[in-house]
Amino acid sequence: MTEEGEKLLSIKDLKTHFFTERGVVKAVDGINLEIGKGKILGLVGESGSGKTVTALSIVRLVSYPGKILNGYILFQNENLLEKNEREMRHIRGNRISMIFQDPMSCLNPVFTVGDQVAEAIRLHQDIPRSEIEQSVVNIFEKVGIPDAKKRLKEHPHKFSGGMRQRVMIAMALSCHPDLLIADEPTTNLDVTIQLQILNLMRKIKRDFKTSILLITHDLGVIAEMADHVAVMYAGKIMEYSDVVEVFSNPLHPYTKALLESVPRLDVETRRLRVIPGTVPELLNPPDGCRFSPRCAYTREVCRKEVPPLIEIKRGHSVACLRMNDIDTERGDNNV
Amino acid sequence: MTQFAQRAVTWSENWRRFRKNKAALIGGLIVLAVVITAIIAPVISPYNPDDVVAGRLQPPSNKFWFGTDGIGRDCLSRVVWGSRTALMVGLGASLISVIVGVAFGSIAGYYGGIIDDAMMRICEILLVIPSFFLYILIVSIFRVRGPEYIAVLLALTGWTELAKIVRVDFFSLKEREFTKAAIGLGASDIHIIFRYLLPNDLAPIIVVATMNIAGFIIMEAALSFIGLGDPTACSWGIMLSQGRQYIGYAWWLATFPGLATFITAVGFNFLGDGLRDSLDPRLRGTI
Repeated sequence: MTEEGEKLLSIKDLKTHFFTERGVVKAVDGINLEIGKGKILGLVGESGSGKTVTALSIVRLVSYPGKILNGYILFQNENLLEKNEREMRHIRGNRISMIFQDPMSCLNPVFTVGDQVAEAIRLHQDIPRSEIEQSVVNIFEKVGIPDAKKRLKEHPHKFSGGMRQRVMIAMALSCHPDLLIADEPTTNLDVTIQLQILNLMRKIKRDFKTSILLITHDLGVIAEMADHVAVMYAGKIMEYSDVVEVFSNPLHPYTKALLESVPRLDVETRRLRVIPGTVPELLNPPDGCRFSPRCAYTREVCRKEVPPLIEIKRGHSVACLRMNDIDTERGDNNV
Repeated sequence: MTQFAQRAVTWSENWRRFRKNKAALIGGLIVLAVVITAIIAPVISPYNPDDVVAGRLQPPSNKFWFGTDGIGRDCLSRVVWGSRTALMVGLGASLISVIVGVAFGSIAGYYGGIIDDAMMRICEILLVIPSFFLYILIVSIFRVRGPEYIAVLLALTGWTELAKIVRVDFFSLKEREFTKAAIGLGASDIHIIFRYLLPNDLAPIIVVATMNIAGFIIMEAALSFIGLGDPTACSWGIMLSQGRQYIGYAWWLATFPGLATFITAVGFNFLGDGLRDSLDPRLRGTI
């Protein structure tokens, strides 16, 4: 897992488990991740694979009964897992910001959007009241909200989904964070607005040198945006590489299957491939490789041994015991 | 998302809905009339309510619209001044119970866990004690009489309902995305409570507080009626209780303060109902 450039965040062996009445849910089970300065890391995976829990673990907002058990999260050479709540509060929104999936419900309905952005600024910066409106207008203009002076006096319900997401991004960016965690930022938006928001995020990365952890299940978004990709499945990282490599030379059977299940305009297919089965219940994850029950290449060994994430090429790691065999062998779909 | 859209309706929208509701408007007008009466009581009452101005037990006439009482005081003036007592007790008790109830409910609802358990048990203890007996007990032990004491007394048990409402609403509000987003931006507990949870819970608090006022006013009358009020004060309950002994031949003594209590209580109830219909998101769309 070596890369060019400086690291902003590195996660080592992070385990976040949920202690429910029915048993322990291993939502994140020993993952390693790195995000370079000014880079976008795409974290892909199906629903329930642990992407959001990973994000919440970074800002230490995993709620009861979840608990971070193990590992460390190194952010600008400080271990976030050793911080107390006050220190974390200072980091959240200031150095690490988050934007969420559903912009419709992420704004407080009773205050104007301008108030809310101003508040986000005041939480971490000492800006005199007289200047705060101007800084809000500036941020609004940066995130492309037209007629900013007028609109900041309006309540959230007068904003469309795309505009609300811009407001959320404005709040997240108000203190120039070093890391922006975007948890499915475009999932609930229609396609044209998606594109605008993605362009905005790219612009942010370029203008502010902000690193972005982009969580999505949309491979198209990843291909557009990310510098590096981590494929997550059932609480584990399956494959990690730079974006070109993942799309041109996927090595893990899961990554391959994911890519094959994306509709493409340039290849004629009658039916899209699907991955049989569903994401395993994490209360009782399968033994060995977690993808083994659904994998077309499963052998006995896959059900017994947990494959380690091995760097097979510079910057390209895969967690599969049989990755050297599967190139020569056709999958036999033994589910 | 639909739930959110309902919540996001503005106060001007609420006002429009409120205006369309006849009962609410009538309630509001009654409350307004009572409040104005109380404020300008010295101006509109024909006599000093404590002065003996005529012979005792004069029936209603041009000079004394509501007649005179057992010692010859003007009943109209006493009813007018009584509105001050009623409002003072009603508004005072409601205000105190809002402050205590909201504070209590916020802490229990926001922090949850053991804190919540402990606080709710305190609440339940107060709820299982029959409040009327509690009032009688406290009044007879401490010998406190005036309307201001009655307001405190009524608030003593009156806050529990509000605490429970605020607590439950906080449970759901603190799981809402905008709260989570704010926590993600580094907002502190106090900040979350005062900027995210309470403002979004104002509507039910206002409704319950208004409805409570009616209850408190009736309760004050009841306490005064059984002789727990200050016998020298100008209160509708006391007038009722003093009029009781003459009820056979001086009907006006009990009738007018009774009507005043009734109309005021109905006014606050209508107002509360109307507020609920226009503010409560769960009822929105049903009317």
